[in-house]
Amino acid sequence: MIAIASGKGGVGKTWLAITLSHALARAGHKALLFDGDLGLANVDIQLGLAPACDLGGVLTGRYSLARATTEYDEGRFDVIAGRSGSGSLASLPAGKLAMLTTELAGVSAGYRRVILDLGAGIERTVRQLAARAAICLVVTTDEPTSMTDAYAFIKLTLMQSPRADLRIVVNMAESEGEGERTYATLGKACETFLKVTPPLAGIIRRDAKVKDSIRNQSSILTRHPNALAARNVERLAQRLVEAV
Amino acid sequence: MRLKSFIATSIPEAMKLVREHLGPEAVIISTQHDGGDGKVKVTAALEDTPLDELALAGPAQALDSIDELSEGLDYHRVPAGLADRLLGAAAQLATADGIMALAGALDAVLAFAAPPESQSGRPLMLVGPPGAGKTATAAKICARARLAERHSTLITMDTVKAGGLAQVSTFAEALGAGLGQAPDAEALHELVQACPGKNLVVIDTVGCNPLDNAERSRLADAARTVGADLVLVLAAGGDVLEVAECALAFAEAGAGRLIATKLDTIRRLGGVLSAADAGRLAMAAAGVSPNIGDGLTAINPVSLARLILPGAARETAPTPLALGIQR
Repeated sequence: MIAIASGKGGVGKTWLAITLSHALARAGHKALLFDGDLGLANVDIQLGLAPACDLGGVLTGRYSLARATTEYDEGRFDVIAGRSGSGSLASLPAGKLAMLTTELAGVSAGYRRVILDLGAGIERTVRQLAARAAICLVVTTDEPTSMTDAYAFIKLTLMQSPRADLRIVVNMAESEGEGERTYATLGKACETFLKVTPPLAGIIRRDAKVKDSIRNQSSILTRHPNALAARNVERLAQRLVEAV
Repeated sequence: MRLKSFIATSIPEAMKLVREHLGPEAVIISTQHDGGDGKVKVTAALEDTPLDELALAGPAQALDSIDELSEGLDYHRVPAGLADRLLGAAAQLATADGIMALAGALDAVLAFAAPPESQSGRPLMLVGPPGAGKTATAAKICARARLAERHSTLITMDTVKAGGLAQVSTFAEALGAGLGQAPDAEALHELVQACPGKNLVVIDTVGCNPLDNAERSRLADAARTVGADLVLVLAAGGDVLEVAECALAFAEAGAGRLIATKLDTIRRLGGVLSAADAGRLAMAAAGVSPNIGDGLTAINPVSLARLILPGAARETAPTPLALGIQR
């Protein structure tokens, strides 16, 4: 299970989750994308899916998590959609969250890779879900607010689970060099204050094709498979597969 | 962490800016020479709360307290539904203090009442299954009343049990309480009428089979005749479901409050919590020792939380009464 977190919203977390799931599927891995961002779920919207069942129904006990999986034909991977406005995971009672994670573990057994799109923020529940993942990708951009929020997420996650495998993804980098600099800055802050340096998982370049594919409710790997950002994510996927 | 970038003509000048704006604790985490104009961009960070300090009272501690709570409730065999509600309520509080998190949750989920002797007006009728500790509890309530400088009258309806009256008279005499014996509702009515108005009237009853509807209605009728409050006395421990059903049966007969007894003889409180929850009974007191003088303690969300969480100190009972009597 690979979790994707950010601390701050608007850093391209959901887009990365979709593209990474697609890249893993293209590499021949049976993948499931779980939209854990209940507050502002938008995996299904970004993909133009209209799922009959979603996480909202699972949490109200209408059907099982397995029934809430929807096939995304175009990308050949499965999706468990969240539902915007059905409250947030953060406000879930601990018992219900525990139930959900247990059920997710059961459903996950049928997949080779599970990508967890976590809600923005650093609440306990988000970190609790992140702690369950083998690897947690922390997405940041070069904006100071994004870096400080990513740092806060890393700090709190390490406090809860000191051995968590956290890796940094720099998104929307102007250049490879800029991306490395952003990573170096965040990495140095972690090293100085937390005595831990999360490794760099990958740099994704800013790319106009990203916006185009989101606008067209399609995965960039379908619409622009050769775009710079698409290739960056494919390389990230390859590195993750080698690591897990 | 606070992050701030400074642009200066030289590194020393940038460092000076960093010290000025962020103070001596700030750390330079990135230096970058800007193009051809010889300027330098320095990014510095200042940590608000170091990790080791935060670890003492951070949100993770709150998570730990929920985990600790979950384990604690599990240990006490609290039924899943009730445990879920308690954990949910505790999670809302997000406090690092496990006792306070649980206390808040107990307060939100269960009801609590003032200790029995501080109630005014209506007589208290102690009901419960045989062997729950009704007679000892009645005596303990009178002892607490005496500590609060209040006169009490102990009336027993138990005229069946061998040596029952002798036991009650010993207690009443030692506690300086009035004593009455009422074999039926009519006699009870007369005795209660004869009591001075300011006295606390405690009525001890015969053990009642919770499964016997007729027995329960007889008790309810007797309570109605004298306008008494039914207080269920229930021994802690035992099968959780059994205890819950028993509480429900007495609640249907009109009991509104619960005194859990014999807490010193058991380790798991799931039955007590489950009884209070199932019967929607307000927890009024707990029997924590066989001593009549100080064996009954008032119960509130915090003291109950202390009893539930492992390693937590038990609430100290009220000052022992120098009565010199023990059961």
